[in-house]
Amino acid sequence: MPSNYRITSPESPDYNCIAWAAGTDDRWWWPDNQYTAYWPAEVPREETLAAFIQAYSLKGYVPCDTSDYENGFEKIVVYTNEHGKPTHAARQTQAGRWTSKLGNWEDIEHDRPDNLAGRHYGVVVDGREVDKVLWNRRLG
Amino acid sequence: MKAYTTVPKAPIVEAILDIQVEPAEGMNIGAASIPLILREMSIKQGQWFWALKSITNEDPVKPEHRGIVAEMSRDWLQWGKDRGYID
Repeated sequence: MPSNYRITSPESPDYNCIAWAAGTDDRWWWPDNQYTAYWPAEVPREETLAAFIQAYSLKGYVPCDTSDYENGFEKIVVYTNEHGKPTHAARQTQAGRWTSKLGNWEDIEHDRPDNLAGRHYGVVVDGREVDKVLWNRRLG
Repeated sequence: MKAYTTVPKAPIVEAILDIQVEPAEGMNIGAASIPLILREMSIKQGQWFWALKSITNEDPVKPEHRGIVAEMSRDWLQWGKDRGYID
């Protein structure tokens, strides 16, 4: 768990981090081969960064270079593990912090994408920002 | 039967799927768990769907309901009633 965070919702099994980063809180998003979760029909149902890029591009996101807050833009970040497989996604709030849904549990708000460290989210513990991909979309 | 998924599973689901399904006097351990899973689902919604699909080899969930826990639960509970697993 990140060291600087606050819980911002009750526990909910209704949505996951990938959906939450896309602005959705009523279903699970994941390209599972059992077809138990939602995945955009026009996107390959595969657990690859390319598929996640395509899924989020349908929401209007394009690649960007920095996680810094920029007025008029909404940013998301996708975390991958050492094999390049997506493991988590977070979305930047209009206050410049980041919001993440933790599995079946709560949403949390945290300062930076790399506040989530450890083997599950693909960020090395020393804080080096690796294995994350950033996108943004213009608001309004 | 062992299987793996990245969709989070409840601990009970992992326990069920780790059971070696061997024919024993005609008893299928996986199938015997269906009423238990459905009753649990009727009380508290959760990510039971992967387990039910694996055990039953069926998928009663409507495509437009995928990912919506409440709707998927309703689809499975109706399936269970239609097949006599639950009342």
